Amino acid sequence: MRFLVVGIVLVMSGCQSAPVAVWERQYLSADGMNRPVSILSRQLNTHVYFSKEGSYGSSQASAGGCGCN
Amino acid sequence: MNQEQQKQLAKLSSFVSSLLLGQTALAENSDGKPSVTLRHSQYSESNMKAAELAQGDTDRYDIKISQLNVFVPINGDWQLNVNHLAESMSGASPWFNVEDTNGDVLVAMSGATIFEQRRDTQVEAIQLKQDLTNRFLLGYSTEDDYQARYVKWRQTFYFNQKNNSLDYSIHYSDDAIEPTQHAFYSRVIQESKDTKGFSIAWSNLLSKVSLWDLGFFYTQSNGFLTDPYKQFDLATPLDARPDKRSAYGIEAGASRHWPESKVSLHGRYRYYQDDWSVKSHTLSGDLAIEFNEYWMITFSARAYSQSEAEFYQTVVSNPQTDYFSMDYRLSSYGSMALAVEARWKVTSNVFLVTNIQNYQSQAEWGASSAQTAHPALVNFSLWGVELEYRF
Repeated sequence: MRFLVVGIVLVMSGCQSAPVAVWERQYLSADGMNRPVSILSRQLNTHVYFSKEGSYGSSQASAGGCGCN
Repeated sequence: MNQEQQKQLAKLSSFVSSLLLGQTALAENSDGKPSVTLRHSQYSESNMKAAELAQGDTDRYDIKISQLNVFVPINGDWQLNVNHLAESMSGASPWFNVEDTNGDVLVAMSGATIFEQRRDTQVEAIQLKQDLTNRFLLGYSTEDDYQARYVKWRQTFYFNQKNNSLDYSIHYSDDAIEPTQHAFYSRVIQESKDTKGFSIAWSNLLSKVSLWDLGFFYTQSNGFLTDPYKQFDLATPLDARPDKRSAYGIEAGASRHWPESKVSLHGRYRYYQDDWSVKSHTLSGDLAIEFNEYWMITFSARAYSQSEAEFYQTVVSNPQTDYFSMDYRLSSYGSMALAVEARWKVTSNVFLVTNIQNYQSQAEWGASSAQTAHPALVNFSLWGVELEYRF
């Protein structure tokens, strides 16, 4: 874990690039860059993974549910 | 800045906010128009093999899910998002494991008489400022045997002409469980738990076609974390878990667009660790292809691998320790999910989205070596179709 954090910090420090001007962002706002297409689908996926896998919790508020079955 | 550039900027801000830590708090509609979205989904688990069954039914869970989202801009600064979900569930679930005379592990399933409904409602108010977005979320979820009330506050701060964003959130959930059939099985009558946590994430535009993000989260639960349906009965406990669980993790992602081919690639990695000794790695990727203004297809893959909890046992026969569980979710295993999603812009106001996912899990893909594979690891399919109308 420690190596992972150090590695990410190193990558971050090398990732600072020249600012992208407002008029240069049409590709960044392309439909394909929007993930997910469906917010409802992702909410459902998040709840399914919460219910069926052992890594509970993340940045989410609980979507409710016992997760017992 | 002209109107088109403002629109692109708002759209990009929306994309970035939904990317950060895979946030599912309702992201604002990217073009700010009022909208109504209806979705129907079907979740089906693969049945158990009869040869691996000690008792109960082979038919596992089927869930029908209906969702409704209503998005309303109140004025220039405020937006309102309302989400409602209704699920109806039926089928059997793994109860406990036993060893046969050959030493093979068999699963005792519950009867196929579980019928449940879940309702989940979320209301989110979004405040948009020049370089700041506030989100206030209230939610209530209820089942026959379970209630959860939860709140979340999230703030995204944009700076450096929106080349960077810093996103932080806190959340709290208060949950109560009242197991059904508690008299017959001598289960607990009523228990509770609470969950709280925070997250922080950073994003950066790398170039005209690429961006990345990095985040950290921490979550802690306190209270009754045992599965009451796996206890068998109070005199013969087969599931006992600590009353506290703390988890943290990091998540990083990057996206790139190829303008000539109108292809976008997204990659994400998530590391998770908790004080039950569960560690997991999740790697996911999406490839979105825009065929024209109307059609877009996205192919997705997700690989997941976790180690087992320190108190997990495939078969609990005569527990000598304080904590033990036979829950397959606490065993060492991994999974692979493949999905495809199609979006059709029917008219300038109407969007149709459909997607299907297949999820397979195996003990061999676990992050630690499983001494004995749990025979009830879950495989499922999930498909859905949704219709969005923008006013």
